[in-house]
Amino acid sequence: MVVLGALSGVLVAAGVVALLFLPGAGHGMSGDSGAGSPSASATATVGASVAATRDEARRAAEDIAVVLATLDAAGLDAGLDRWEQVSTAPLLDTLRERRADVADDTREAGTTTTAVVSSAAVSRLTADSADVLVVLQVTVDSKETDPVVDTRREVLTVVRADGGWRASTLTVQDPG
Amino acid sequence: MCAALPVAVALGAAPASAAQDPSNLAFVDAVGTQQVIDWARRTVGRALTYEYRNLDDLERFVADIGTPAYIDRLDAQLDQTRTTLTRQKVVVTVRVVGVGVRDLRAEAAQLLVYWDQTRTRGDVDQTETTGSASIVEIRMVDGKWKLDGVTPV
Repeated sequence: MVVLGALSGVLVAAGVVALLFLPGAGHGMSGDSGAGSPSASATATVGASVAATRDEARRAAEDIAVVLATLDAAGLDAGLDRWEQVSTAPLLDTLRERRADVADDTREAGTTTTAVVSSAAVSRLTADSADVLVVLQVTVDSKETDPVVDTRREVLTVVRADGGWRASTLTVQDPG
Repeated sequence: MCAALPVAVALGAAPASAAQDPSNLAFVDAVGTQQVIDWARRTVGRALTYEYRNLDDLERFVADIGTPAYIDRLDAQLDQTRTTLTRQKVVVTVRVVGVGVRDLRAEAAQLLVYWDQTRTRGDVDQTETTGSASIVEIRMVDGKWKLDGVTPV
């Protein structure tokens, strides 16, 4: 699995400090508004806002995880451009540094990698960022071998950027 | 053939759109969310860890942290596998490495849990470490969270 290995290798080789897991502190994202007697409507509004942020962040992380696990040897530039479009620092810096190597490896292997989300859940949430667990079923296809399907456990940190969400870190949770 | 203590299956299917349900309190109730995350980190690994020489330890622990339905399923599974686990000298250690909250209500929660499992088969001296992801369902019983189901993703 050259692409998958390449992306994981990109993260390890660059020494990116990946966020493996942060306890879901939820600081600053409580439905309680603190001292005093908040009106019921104010509390409900805050709660709805937190819920919306939670669901936005989770959906964004799912979409980004699929993008970052997708690459076709026949469309490398477009695929790698898409990786950069859904990322921000420090992940973006790492992807740019290793772009040429990833392209070479994928072109040589001639693989097509696709992914589907099996499950996802937020583990930490603030107004502008979230850690999200995303389980992917990743299929690596090549002309020379039968498709290989693997389950990947990922943790993404997504942050608000440019009117949407981007991934700042991605960790593949290998056992051990 | 390796015998394994089957993972208990959830009683009911998870709602497909749980995360989009406006009554989902995950992270809206910050304190409650942290409580279930902490509970999962403390409890799930221990509930899936066992040793062939003392399966009663597992039963005693689950009797304390499991719903009646979960306890019954575990007892049924142990009845089927105890002899094989003992003959194969199976030791399983589980460590939780990630917890996300999919859905939180006053009486129930649904979590996505990553764990690493090390399984040793003593009769042939084989050890293997694998990574798993499961949907863990818990229910509030008499004011305490209890394990109700574990479904591999």
